[in-house]
Parts: sequence; C-alpha cells; structure tokens
Amino acid sequence: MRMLKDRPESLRLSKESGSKVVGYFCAYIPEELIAAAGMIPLRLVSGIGPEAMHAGEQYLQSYTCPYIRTCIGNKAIGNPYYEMLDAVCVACTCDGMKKLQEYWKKYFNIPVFTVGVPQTSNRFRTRKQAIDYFREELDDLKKNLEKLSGTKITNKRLREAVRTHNLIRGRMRRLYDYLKEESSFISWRDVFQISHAGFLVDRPEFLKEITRIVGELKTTSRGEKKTDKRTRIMLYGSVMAFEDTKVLDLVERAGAKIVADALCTGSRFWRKDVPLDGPLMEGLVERYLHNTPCPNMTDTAMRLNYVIARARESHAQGMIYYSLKSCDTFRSEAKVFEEALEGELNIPTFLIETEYSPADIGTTRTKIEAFLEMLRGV
Amino acid sequence: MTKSAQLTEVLLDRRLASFNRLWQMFMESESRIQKSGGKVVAKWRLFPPEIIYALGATPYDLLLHEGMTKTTARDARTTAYAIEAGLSADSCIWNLTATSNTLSKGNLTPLNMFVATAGQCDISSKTWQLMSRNMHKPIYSMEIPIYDAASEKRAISFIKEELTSLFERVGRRFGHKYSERTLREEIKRGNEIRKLLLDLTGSLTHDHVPMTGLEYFLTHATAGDYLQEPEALTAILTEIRNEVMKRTEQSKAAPGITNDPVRLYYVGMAPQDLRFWNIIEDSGGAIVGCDTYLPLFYSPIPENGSLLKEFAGWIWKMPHHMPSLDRAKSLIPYIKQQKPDAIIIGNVIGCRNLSSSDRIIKETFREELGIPVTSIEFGSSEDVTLLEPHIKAFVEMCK
Repeated sequence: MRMLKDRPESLRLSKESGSKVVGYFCAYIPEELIAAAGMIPLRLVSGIGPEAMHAGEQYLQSYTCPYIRTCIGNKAIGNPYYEMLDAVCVACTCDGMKKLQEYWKKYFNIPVFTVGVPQTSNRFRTRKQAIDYFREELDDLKKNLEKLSGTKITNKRLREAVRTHNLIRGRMRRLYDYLKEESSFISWRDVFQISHAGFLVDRPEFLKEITRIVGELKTTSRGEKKTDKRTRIMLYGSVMAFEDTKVLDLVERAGAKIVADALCTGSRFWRKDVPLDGPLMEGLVERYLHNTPCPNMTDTAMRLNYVIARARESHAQGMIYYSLKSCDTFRSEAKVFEEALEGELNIPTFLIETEYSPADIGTTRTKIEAFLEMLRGV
Repeated sequence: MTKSAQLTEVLLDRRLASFNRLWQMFMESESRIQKSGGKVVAKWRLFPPEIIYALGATPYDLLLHEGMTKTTARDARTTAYAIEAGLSADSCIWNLTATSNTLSKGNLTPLNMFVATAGQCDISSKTWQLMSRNMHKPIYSMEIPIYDAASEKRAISFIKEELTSLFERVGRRFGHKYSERTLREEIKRGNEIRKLLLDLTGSLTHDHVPMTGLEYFLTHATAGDYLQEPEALTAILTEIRNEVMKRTEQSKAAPGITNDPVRLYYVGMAPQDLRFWNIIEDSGGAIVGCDTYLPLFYSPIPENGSLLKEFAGWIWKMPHHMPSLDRAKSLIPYIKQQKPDAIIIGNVIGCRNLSSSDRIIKETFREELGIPVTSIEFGSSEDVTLLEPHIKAFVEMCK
C-alpha cells in the first residue's frame, strides 16, 4: 500500500524524466502494448466519490452509470492520476464507454485511442469476422501507441511485456487461491486492494511485491489452521472501484466475509494468460477477446460458467450481485445468475443496486443484514 | 371496438383521408402478425426490415407496436412483466413497455424469433436476450461495430460478414435459402417506401406545413417494418403523398397549424404518448422534420453493384450509431434542408445511448446552425403534459 500511496509522486518523477503515461478504463485494453511502447499504463478505476460523479454530470445525464460519470468527472476536477495522462485508450464495450470516449475527445485535450470490441464474439470462436476485426483494431492501437511514444513495439519488447504480465496474472491467481481456504491468512479486502495497486503501480515492482507476498503466504499457510465460521459470500457484478468499499464494509460489519469474486477489477482481470507460443498479436486477441466476458458481450453462458465455478470452489454460501445504478448490462442479467446459482449450487443470490453516494448506506445495510440472516437460518 | 377507437385524447388530422387508412393499418399490425401464419421476427427499431423479408419472414418492430401502449387503453401493468423478468425500473421506458407487453402475452405471442442488433443500444440488446430466454424463442444477434471513419474498410467488411452469417444461419433455421436476387427485390421494394418518405419529408419544407407532427411521425415510423405489407403500405403512402402535395399546391397548411408557426426539427427518441405531437401545434409550433426513424430512409439503399457490400456500407452510414459529434454533423444537411427555426432534442430518462449525447449534440447544432436548441426529457407517458410549459415557452422565445 505504500507503493500505492507514493504512486502520484513517483509518476510525477517518471514524467519529469520523459516517460509518458497512458490511461485506460475497461479490461479489454491490452496494457502489454502500452508497456511494450515504453510507456506507463494506468487502469483508471480509482477516485470515486460524489464530487467526481457530480462533476461528470456537467457532461452526462444523472441516469448514466456512476463509474462513467466519474471517469469524466475525475478529469474535470483535476484528479492527480488523470492530470498526468498523455493519452487514454477506450475500449468501446458498453454504451457508457462509447459515450466516455466521445466526451474525452471533445472536451479534454489529449489523444484518445478507441478500440472497437465485437460483442458477438463467443467461446466457440464461431465468428471469424469478430476475431479479424478485433485484431485490426489492436494493430491500429499498436501503431497509435508507437506514434505517441516514438518507440517501435518490436516482437522482443512485446514478448517481454507479455511475459511480465503473465507472471503478474499467475501470482494474482495464486493470491485468489488462498481465499478458498476456510481460514485464509489473507482477506479478500487485502487481495482487492493489491489488485487495484496492480492497475497503478510500476508493473515490474508490483511483480516483485506480489511474489514476496505469495511466498510469505506459502510459508504462513503451512502453520496451524484456525476455524472461521463467518458466512462465506461471493461478489459479482459491475466494475468495483478501489474506494468503493460500501458493500464490503457492510458485509464485514454484519459478521460475514467475502471469499471470492468475479469482478473485472478482481479475479476476472487476472484470469487467462496471453499465449507465448504463436504470433503475439494473435495471442493478445485470444486473451482479451476470449477472457470471461463482460455482460456487454452476448455470450452469457461463458460468464455464468465462470461465476458458478468460482462459487463452487470457494464454498460460497451466498452471492451478492452488485449492480451499479444504470449499469443495464449487469442489471438485466441478475435474474439469470440468481436462477442458475440456485439451480446448480443451491446458493441464494442477493441483488444490490447502488451508486457512489453514502445516501443508501442505511437501506443497503438492512438488506445485507437480512440476507445474511436468511443464509444463517436465523 | 376497433383499436383506433381506443385511442384517447389524441387529435388526428381526419381531413387527410388516406392517413386514416394508414392509421388503421398501423393499429392492426398486431392482429396481422397473429393471422400471418408465416415466421414472425421481432426486430429492433432501426434494424433494416429488408433483411427479414429476404428470409421469407415477417418483421415486427417491437418497440413501435408494443411500446406506444400508453396511448391506448391496454393493460395498466405496462412495465411490471419486464421488471419481474429482471429489468431495472430505471431502464428506458420504450424497452420496458415493449418487453412487458411482449412477455405478458406468453405463449399466445405469434413471434417466432428475436433479431437483436448488437453494438447499437445495450438495453435493447439485453432485453431481446431476456425475452428470448423467458419465452423460449431463439435469438440471433447481428453486430454493427462502433463508427469510426478510420476503420471504415474493416467495419464494412465485418458488417458484410455479419449479413452473410445471418442469412446462412437464420435461413437454415427457417428452411429458407438466401438468394441475392430476393434481397435485391426486397431492397427495391423498401426503396420505393424510402422515396415516398423522403418526398413527404420534403413536403414539410414548404412555408405552409401540410402535415401535422403526429401524422408525420407515424408515417415515417412505418419504416420500422413496413407494417408487414410493403405493397399495401406503398399504395397508401403514395395516396398520402398525393394528398399532401395537393395541399402544398394550394398553399394550405394542415389543420391545427397556425399561420407562420415556429418551424421545429425534432431529434432523438420520441415520447411514447402521441399527444406530444399535438402539444407542439397547440403551442404554436410545427414539426418540419424528425430523425427518430430517419436512419432507415436517410437515402435509398444502392440496388446495383456488390449488393451485400453496398448494403453493409449503407448500414455503416446510418445516422444513428455514430458517435454524437459525427451523428450531429451527419444530421445537419437533413436538418438544413427542412429550414427549421429551432430544434428540440428528445431525451428518454434511462437511455444511456442517444440521450447521453445531449450536450455534444446540442452544442454542435448551436455552433453549426446558429438556431435555438432545447432539450426535453421524459420518462413515462404521464409526463408528456408536463412538457407543455417548456415547449410553449420555447416556441414563444423563438417567435
């Protein structure tokens, strides 16, 4: 966490020494390309809060997803991370992301590189046109990043970046594995914070740090196991920002613990490596287009399988389906997931619709407590 | 009792004799698909109906026919079924109502399949999936990639492949083999309608506006599915055009339109409640154009050359799915042609697509056209009368 705290200052120093900083929002942008161009990638899912959200409303309607409003509002209010950006990459996934890139292009004076992401691509890879299209979009992104950085993304540089990112992903998956144990020596809150640190801090430094953490956990977990009878909850849903701990805090205060997630800022982000045994650009297409998809993509079964597998292996007793207000893609699938988890694993699901405001803490607390009581059979 | 008799508090231009036939045809769409006996495909608003006709099936514009229900005395539970099925009550009201009405029919629905358009509107795409799942009917999603002038070549190639896949896969399901000849014929039929709609739009450029906003809106909304009978529709639209042209020759405005009205162009989603169009005229304005369905008839689809490629190119340039700035700029020539005094932008509460473009669209119109622009926002149809003071004040200001 010290690394994260010092990050704005270290970024400032890097910029002073000539490094460029490139931000992105959605998990469909291969940050390996940014790193291979010698630039610093930042995934921008931090800095929530009513101030940024309301600043975003100068551009977008209040019934737009709060994350999208925040992604614009943070720039408008001068969030330090946003102020250091030399460019942003926007994956055109949901309607919100599409609008986001429009507003950034029109109102903020930095390059915006858009990447079209075919929604109909599926796990059977039956739509070759989707794969071809995405490949060409990534080729364009590569060219744009090369132009911005003045550095050619050679095969060697890309391979090095992919290798580092694959190692990071592998270590992060190990961290998530520890959460499955009945009495884990690391909490989900810690893993979630580490995950977010991984979006912002220097990647090779981050790799060293999580390698150390994983090593420590390996040693510690050989010790005596305590029993932990807290109710085990899995979390799935909309993008969850770093400071958005409302649900987590309420779950913990109500005497339960989160043991797994399938969030795009959590375990889903670290799933699936880029294959190194073929052309690397094709490897990026394979990894980014065919990772467990966001609900903006039409292949519901693929994400359903992932969520069921995570719930099963983590021995979750209930699932919280976290939907940001106005996030239509997640919200409209809540019932499908509820029915599937009930049918497959006999696990109840509870839908929470919220936004970045403390206004609904009281009602959300009551709902979460009632859900947990139901799980405990009180 | 006919459905038209159920219509409440909406004033139609009864002197436009041929329009009354169109209205009847419009209201009978639902019973027509019940009786059709063939395959009926529920389609998204701006999905070109030619594609479905070319598969030997009948298109049904779900938002149009199942979304405007609050105007008629139907089931009061207009959104309940959709919310029970999993949609948020905060979603776009057009989708909520259409989904709810469709789900409420259960097994009685004559719909055989849902065709969704991925990439143009998330909530439509998701509601189509939801209806398909709940009603155990198949769904096929055709994707239109994000508009970016720099990626035109690959995007058109992508759309062409999407069209080919759709014709192959849906054709196989329907037992109907796709042929370019059939598609060309359907495009020709559709282009006849497009030309008529463009003529009617052109008639609104006259100083004496010969059609009211309500008649114009309903007329151009027929582009959604050609009311299941393209030939019959062509005949009626031809009669409407002739009647309207007669009015223009006689320098007669449509009844209800004041002398020297404020000429208004409407951009965006329309309210579900048809009384909205009456309010415009009651406030001293006149609708001289509307882009709600314009992307379906903005220009004829090329009939020659490489048909699928040309069609893909036409779909790519539909002035709807473009980013806000491109969309605004592509609309400007159509707006200028209609000589409006002012523009109204309609935003649907819960729409994360068009309505989220409001600021960019408004600023672009103001900068490029130099005329007053206002935005209105509406949710359910009960709100429509609340818009009246806003519209009246805007019209007064424009005078």
